[in-house]
Amino acid sequence: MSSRELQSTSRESGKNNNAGSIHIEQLSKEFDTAEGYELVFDNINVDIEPGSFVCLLGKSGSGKSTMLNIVSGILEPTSGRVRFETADGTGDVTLGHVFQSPRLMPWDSNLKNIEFVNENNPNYTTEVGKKQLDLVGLTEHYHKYPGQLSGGQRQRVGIARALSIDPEVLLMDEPFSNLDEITAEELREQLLDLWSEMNKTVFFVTHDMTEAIQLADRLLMLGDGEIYGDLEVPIERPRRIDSDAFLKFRQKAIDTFNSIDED
Amino acid sequence: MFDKIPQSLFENRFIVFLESTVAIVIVWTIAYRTLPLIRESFVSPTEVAIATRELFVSMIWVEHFVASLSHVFYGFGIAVVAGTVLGILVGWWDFWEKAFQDYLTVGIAIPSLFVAIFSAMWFGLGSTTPAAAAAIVATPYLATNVYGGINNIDNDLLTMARAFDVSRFRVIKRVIVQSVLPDWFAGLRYALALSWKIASLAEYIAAEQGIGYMIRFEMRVLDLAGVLSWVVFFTALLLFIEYGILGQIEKRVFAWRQRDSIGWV
Repeated sequence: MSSRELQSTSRESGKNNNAGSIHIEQLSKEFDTAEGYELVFDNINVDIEPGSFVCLLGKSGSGKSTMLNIVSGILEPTSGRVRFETADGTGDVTLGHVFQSPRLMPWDSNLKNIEFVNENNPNYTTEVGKKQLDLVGLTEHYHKYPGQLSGGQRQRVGIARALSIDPEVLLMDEPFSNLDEITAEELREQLLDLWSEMNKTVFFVTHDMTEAIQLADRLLMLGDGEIYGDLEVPIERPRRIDSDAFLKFRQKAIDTFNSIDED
Repeated sequence: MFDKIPQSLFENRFIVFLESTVAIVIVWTIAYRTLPLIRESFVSPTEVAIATRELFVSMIWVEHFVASLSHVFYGFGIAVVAGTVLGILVGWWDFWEKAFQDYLTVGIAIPSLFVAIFSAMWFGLGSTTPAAAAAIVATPYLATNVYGGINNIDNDLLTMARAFDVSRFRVIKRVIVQSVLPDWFAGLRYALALSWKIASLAEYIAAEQGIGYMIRFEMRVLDLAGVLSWVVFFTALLLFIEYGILGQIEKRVFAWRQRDSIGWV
């Protein structure tokens, strides 16, 4: 069974607010290139608890976006599977996606961009869309076009769009990497507020160690085709990036991250 | 000193156009009055204005205007259907791209005069010639624009739609059509302007009615003011279509583009 079939949607059968768990089982991916088959990763096994915030770290070309795309169903794995579990035991999970660039349709208003992805959501109304925009601080911008917003505001619309389908799992692919640091910091805080309020499982891809430690409960490090680092973040929230605990753990995480080069 | 001059005199497109028109008429008048060579070989703006007024009052223009309009209507109509279908085929499927892309390049490169003569030889004297010539010239331009529009569809939007499980029909309607629409509309405007030009040229060569035919008629009797009065009519008509119809449609359909800037309220 493909990962796509597994993820399906619960939009048709009404919604719940429970977070889903992700189970990556014996996952392998290789691409057919001009030079032959190129292995991206092999036999990956990861379990992600419901309601947790997990960051996947890796250097450029390590395959972290490929893994996220397989989890989201955009790509098919070469072998293995991705399984989801929900509190009702059905495994029918709704996935929300936030991309590196917001991927908004410039010809539609922000509200219509949100409505676009709610085709099969019987619970969606215009009020739901407005509420999501309120949550990300865009109350005055319902009917504006994406082109009228700043980069940070557009990414907020992207987050509101993902949350509007009331997903059990939120997949985020380096969503703040194109933003200036001040805006990115604001959005990280906002994301943490939303996450603590909404009980969602977040699978977040980044190459920024500080960002990962600020956000996540757990860090996964992907490289050389395997998960070579798996660290729980033992720092209380809210986390200050200049605190001793943060700096100490950051050093440990960086050492682990770089360990793959030393092998 | 320049602070006291209203900015609209330099910024408003319509006002600047009027200013340039007045400037051309003034230069034309001065040249006509001061240069004997111009006076002997050309006509004055006043003569053209009188001829245009006479043409307008005589109502002769109605018959020829309607004839030209029908030539363009059929030619452009065929081009819209053929160009859009061809553009979609070439843009969407590799096979059709390989089969037709070079024809589009050749179609754009062929001189309009050749097409007008070719149509006249094929269809003879009558209304079919200008309509066919307009269709043949305009089709590859529109097809090329649609082709370009399809190639420029943002793949990230398609991936986003797939990730959110959006249905194919909705993706076609809300992403693909909307992506291609600006290029299609730009092609439409250009194809329409081309249709008018080539239809008039074909009327000039092989028609019994139409603005092009009347320009030929005035030329035969060496009435330069008469020729220019038809040109004035033709220009006014094109400007009306461009700004009065197409410009207004564009404003409504592509409102998001005009507002596509930070700080717009």
